[in-house]
Amino acid sequence: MMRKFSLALIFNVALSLILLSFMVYLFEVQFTYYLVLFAFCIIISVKSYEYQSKWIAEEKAFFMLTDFLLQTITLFKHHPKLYSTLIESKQVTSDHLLKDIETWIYKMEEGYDLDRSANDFILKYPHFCVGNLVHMMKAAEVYGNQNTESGFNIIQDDIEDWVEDTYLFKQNQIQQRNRILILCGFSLVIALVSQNMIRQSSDIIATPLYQLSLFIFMALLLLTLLMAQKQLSRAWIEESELVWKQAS
Amino acid sequence: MEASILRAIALLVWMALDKQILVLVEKIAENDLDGLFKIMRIKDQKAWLSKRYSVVKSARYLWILSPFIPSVLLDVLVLLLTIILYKQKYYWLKQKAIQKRLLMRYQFPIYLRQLQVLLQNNTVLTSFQLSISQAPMSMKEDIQTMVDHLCLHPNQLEEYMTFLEYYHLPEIQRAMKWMYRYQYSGALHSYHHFNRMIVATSKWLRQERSFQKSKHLLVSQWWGLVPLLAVSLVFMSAMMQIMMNLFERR
Repeated sequence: MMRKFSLALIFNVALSLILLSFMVYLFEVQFTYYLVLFAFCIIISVKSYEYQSKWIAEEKAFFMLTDFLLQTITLFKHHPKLYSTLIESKQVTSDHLLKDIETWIYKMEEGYDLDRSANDFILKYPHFCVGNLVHMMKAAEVYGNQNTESGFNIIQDDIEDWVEDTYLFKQNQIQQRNRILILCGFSLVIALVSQNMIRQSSDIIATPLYQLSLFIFMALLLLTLLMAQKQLSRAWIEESELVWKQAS
Repeated sequence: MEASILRAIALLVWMALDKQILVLVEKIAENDLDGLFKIMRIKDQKAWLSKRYSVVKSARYLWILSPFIPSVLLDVLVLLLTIILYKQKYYWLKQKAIQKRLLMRYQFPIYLRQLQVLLQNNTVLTSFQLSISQAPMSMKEDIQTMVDHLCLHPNQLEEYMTFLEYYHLPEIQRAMKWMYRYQYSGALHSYHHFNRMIVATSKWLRQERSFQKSKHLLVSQWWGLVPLLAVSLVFMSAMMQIMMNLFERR
């Protein structure tokens, strides 16, 4: 896994550096500025890769958590026993979530009461849907399954809405990132065309002022690319919805 | 010289009248200040006002510079600084209160949802009591106060209506009226009513969520302007270089 990660990162950095070198060649940027841009480009490519990896990990964790919650509701409605529900629904999980569910199950096996066994899980996943579901399951287990059907339906609807809204927002974020990338491309084309036009009437490309402006232009483009990528690294679960985290 | 003496007299008079001015400051305070104090949970309002005045007071010491800057400019500067310092603390408080109000708009439907889940197998009062440990931090104190009052007068509409009223959010008032009616008529008779409340809360929750998310998108979309500004910079520097070359040739 680590090897795959390193290879992908090296490939990404190399591709970015090739593109940068090509741009530098087209714009005839001085070597000193090229070296600075080269260093910038390495840092920005590594950071971008990091943001992209974070996006993938967050996406996976988000869908796994919501799948687990929905699966739990379905199973619990059918057979309202928390222990057996957790045993069955943990099959749709992996990584950290699986470990946390196993800890929860282990605590139940050790004889902890329902509140104490679920407490760690709620604190680790403090979203209000998780809290509501755990509370509802505890109530159904302690007081019986009567009148809880509609409660589970509410939570199920909330989770569906949550998934839908988050996914839509993430799609919008990708669209916005792509728009920014297109604008970067346009600005490169405009700068290149204007440089070629000016070259025919006057030789200004080698002048220090123009070289400095080219350097700032390219550095700003790299920074914009980084910021566009950075917005994708935002958490998939909105901080303001983590009610228990704030309360703890 | 005369101006400096006049300023020194004004400074001394101002210093002598500090207590009276503080009383005046308390009287002319902004209308919405009480509401802001409640939202920000500032208990000692007098201390806040006196702190506000002590910041404003610092502007007058600019008059000490009078022998070095003998012009009306100094008086204007003192006046402007006094106004800015006077208003600055209020605007800062207001800004914080607006942020808290926005957070409340987002977190109240979440809390209401918790209540609705608890209402499945509890009464309204028990649901409120059970919700305290799970409620968002910003509401805990108010819920506790309301529960204490409801234990004494469970059927008083007023106890429901005063809950978080200082936020002036009609949605909260509406939700509390729902809770009151639910408590009054009981679960069996308000099935339809309860379902309506659930649907409305879902709608509200989604609206707040999309508002919050669109705010993030709005902030990040400004980055799209940077490439255009950068290319303008390149173009301008090229034009400047051409003009300089032209002047050098002449």
